[in-house]
Amino acid sequence: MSAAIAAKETGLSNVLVLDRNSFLGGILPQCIHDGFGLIEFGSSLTGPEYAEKLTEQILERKIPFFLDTTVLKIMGDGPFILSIIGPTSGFCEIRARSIVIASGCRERTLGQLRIPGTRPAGIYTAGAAQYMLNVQNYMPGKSVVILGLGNIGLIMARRLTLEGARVKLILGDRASGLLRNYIQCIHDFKIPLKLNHTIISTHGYQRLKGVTIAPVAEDGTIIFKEKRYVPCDTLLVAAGLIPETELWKYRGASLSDTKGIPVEANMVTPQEGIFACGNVIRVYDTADEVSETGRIAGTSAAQWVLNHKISLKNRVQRVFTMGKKLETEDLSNLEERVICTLCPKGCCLAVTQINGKWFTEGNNCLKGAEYVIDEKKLPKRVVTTTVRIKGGKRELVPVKTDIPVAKEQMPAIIKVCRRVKIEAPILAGTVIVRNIAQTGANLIATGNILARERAGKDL
Amino acid sequence: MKNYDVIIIGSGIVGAFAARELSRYDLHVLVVDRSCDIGEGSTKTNSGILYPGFHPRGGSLKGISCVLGNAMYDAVCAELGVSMKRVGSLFVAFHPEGEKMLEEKYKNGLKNGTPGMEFISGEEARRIEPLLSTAVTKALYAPTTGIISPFELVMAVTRSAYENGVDFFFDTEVTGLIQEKEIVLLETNRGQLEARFIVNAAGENSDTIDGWVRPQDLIIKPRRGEYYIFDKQESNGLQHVIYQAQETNEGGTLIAPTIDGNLIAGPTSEDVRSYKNVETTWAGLAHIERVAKKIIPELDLGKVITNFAGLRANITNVTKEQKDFVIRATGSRIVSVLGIKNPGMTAAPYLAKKIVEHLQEQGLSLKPKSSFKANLETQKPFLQETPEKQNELLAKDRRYGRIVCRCEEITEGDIIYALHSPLPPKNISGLKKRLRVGMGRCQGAFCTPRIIEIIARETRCRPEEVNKYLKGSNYVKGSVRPW
Repeated sequence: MSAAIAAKETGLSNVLVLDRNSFLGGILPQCIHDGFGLIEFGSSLTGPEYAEKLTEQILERKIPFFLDTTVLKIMGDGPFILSIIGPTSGFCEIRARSIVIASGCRERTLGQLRIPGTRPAGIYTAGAAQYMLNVQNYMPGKSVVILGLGNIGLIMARRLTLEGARVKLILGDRASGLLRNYIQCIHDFKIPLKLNHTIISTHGYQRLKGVTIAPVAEDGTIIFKEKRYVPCDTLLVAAGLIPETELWKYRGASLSDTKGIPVEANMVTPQEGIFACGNVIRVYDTADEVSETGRIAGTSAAQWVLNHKISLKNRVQRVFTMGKKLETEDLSNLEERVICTLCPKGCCLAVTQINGKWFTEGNNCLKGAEYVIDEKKLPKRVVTTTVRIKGGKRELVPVKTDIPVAKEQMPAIIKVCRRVKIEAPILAGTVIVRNIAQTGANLIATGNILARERAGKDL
Repeated sequence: MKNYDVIIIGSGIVGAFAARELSRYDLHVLVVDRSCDIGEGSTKTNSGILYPGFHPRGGSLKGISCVLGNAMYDAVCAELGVSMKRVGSLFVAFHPEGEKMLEEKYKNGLKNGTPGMEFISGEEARRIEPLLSTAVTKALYAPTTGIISPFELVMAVTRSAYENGVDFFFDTEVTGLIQEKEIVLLETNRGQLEARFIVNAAGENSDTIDGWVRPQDLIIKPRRGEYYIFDKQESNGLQHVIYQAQETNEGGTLIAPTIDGNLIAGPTSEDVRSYKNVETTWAGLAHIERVAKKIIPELDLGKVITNFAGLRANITNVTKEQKDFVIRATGSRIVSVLGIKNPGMTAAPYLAKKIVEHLQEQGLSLKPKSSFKANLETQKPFLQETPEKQNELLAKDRRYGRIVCRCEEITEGDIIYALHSPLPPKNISGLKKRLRVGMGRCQGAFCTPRIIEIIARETRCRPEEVNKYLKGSNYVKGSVRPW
């Protein structure tokens, strides 16, 4: 969407967005947690809200889009012919002078990790479980082990815990998620975590019964004699993402070192006329970075179509401080230090109280100082979850508290959310519950859920 | 209750071919299977290879049925619309002892009638298969080796039998058998069934059923084979099935292209206790990695998309030298097929003919049926259909335009069609067997939750009731927010 908006802004009139999902926004609508858009929009948004902001811009500019539409092949060297299939378009070919590939990434599976064992039901990639839990209203399981310390694994540990599942363990051979997510998802909920561990076998014939875990030595060898059995009915695999480069590979082109589509400045690929952006280049940590690459790719594509020349000004304008990643030493002494989770930077601050006054050390901004003092006095979080909706295109509407609430009040809020039932349609921003659980916060919808058309008529 | 002329116990590949063979005649035929779907035993988990027939002992039923069965596949596949490719195989040797083994196989092949075998040098082998290791010194080439999808095959054979009037009862376990004068009674978990003749093609349980009628002389136990499946190959990938002259204890591990464009490596060979032991192991996978790397040193293990294991019905109380497929009259009016492991799928069409001959000897009269249709019309997945058919399907249901399984390019329309077709799938695994959904590089990570939704809607059940395969293998544990 960012690329389409930028291309239109640059002066291109004929822009089309194709997406194989039945909604815009890719993975964002299922990422109901907050923390998106700190850089792009200057506030902490949930995934559905971030997608909604971009969708509004698409609609405002009247950029057409085909949903449920898969691009099967890209042929020719420019102009290009795209072989597409969708319920409205059918199976047909369309022509384009330039293409921006923004196909994102997919998740690594247990099979790719070459972990032996049985193959029962109950093993999901974290993203699949997230879609089930947050969009489909499907509870994937009750007692869960999570393999992988990437962001999706951390986020899912919190989501499942909030929804009543027991996360028995999260483990991985190395930490890869943002420190912010570690604090808010694992530390807040006291979820057991094991670094330098992996799963060596899965058990169960029908439904998963348990997994065997073992430590991994520094040289990567597995210490089998220290293996341990962990009973569970669900295993989430959050063991990394792979750029979805099939459309590019189909052309016989090679990949970059980051296993993505190779790009130079301005998101130019080796094939003139094709541009790439987002996670299909390499896996980014934040949606904000992805949007930035999209904007550059869209601008470049438009310039290329309009005058076959790309101005060099399109380079990355915003400097991104890479988010602080979780490291082993971060897991200790969390009582004495406070990690600022306002943004992905993950500044580590020391806070002291002298004569009733608070002093901070190590902060890089004023907001950070305020935050850590509050965190020391009374830790607060924005609660994000879902509410049941009737007569809508989906069964769940994503919601959040409009202001942060005290950490201890989270279960009370979830309890109310379990009880609340509303009718479609509902628009993002609508207040669903005022002063929820006497916290002073309002529960608001963060996504639009349209009313379902007559049964069976929805495509 | 219908009076059946023949009841076949077991809907694996042998039972399916036997059913189709009997459907040529004016007979009431029933197939019963204790599982909920077609081909749930060894048929589901094998290498997908049509063997050339030089592996089994020279002159054995196994060898002869393999060669003759293999030759029948051109006609079978043409009639049933099943894809099959005779890619040829190379049996490669790495050292003088291995070369000796090649000679033995060649002799077996001559006795069994394997056509077109040829010895070639290591260099020649690498010329036709550039990925082969430089350590290969000699190879035995066999042109009749083919690749085929066991799923597609067993589905097509079964559907053909069904369309020609054969009945199918699933979830029906035979628990006892009573021989009477003119009929045989079968006790099942769903009541008594009767037929004039019985075919025992129960795979892992065929020895038990055989033992109900005569003193049990054969004991069948599970022998596990583990496999790796690799992502779809590029056009310069492996072209031939590669067998290797095994060094100590390497079993028959091979590496081969699959008909769907993937690469398969395996199997291992391990005796296990139970038919539930379908788990893979560190040792087994390490073995496959070692052998596969020996054959193709450049092999990229990063391309592995999954591993699985299957079980062979192995006769354990007969020496290796004497082990063979067994087809025999177990009692009067009962024909048993025992110990069918690899190359059972290759041999199946021939074994079916043999079964019918045995039944005839037992007194079954065969009157050809004029309504028998040899050709099977199947609707392929939308994207593999002709443009005319695609237009027709899309006009009927726009959901043929929505891809659900991205890796294998299967549409929602295809899934709905499969769910409402005869002998429908009862679970996700059944759908996978019919359409390959979830068998691609993402292994169902994307499509499984969406398919659960489609199955629940189309079969009017709750998402919690959608199973992976067996009862109790449900994915969904209730609603997050019940209404």
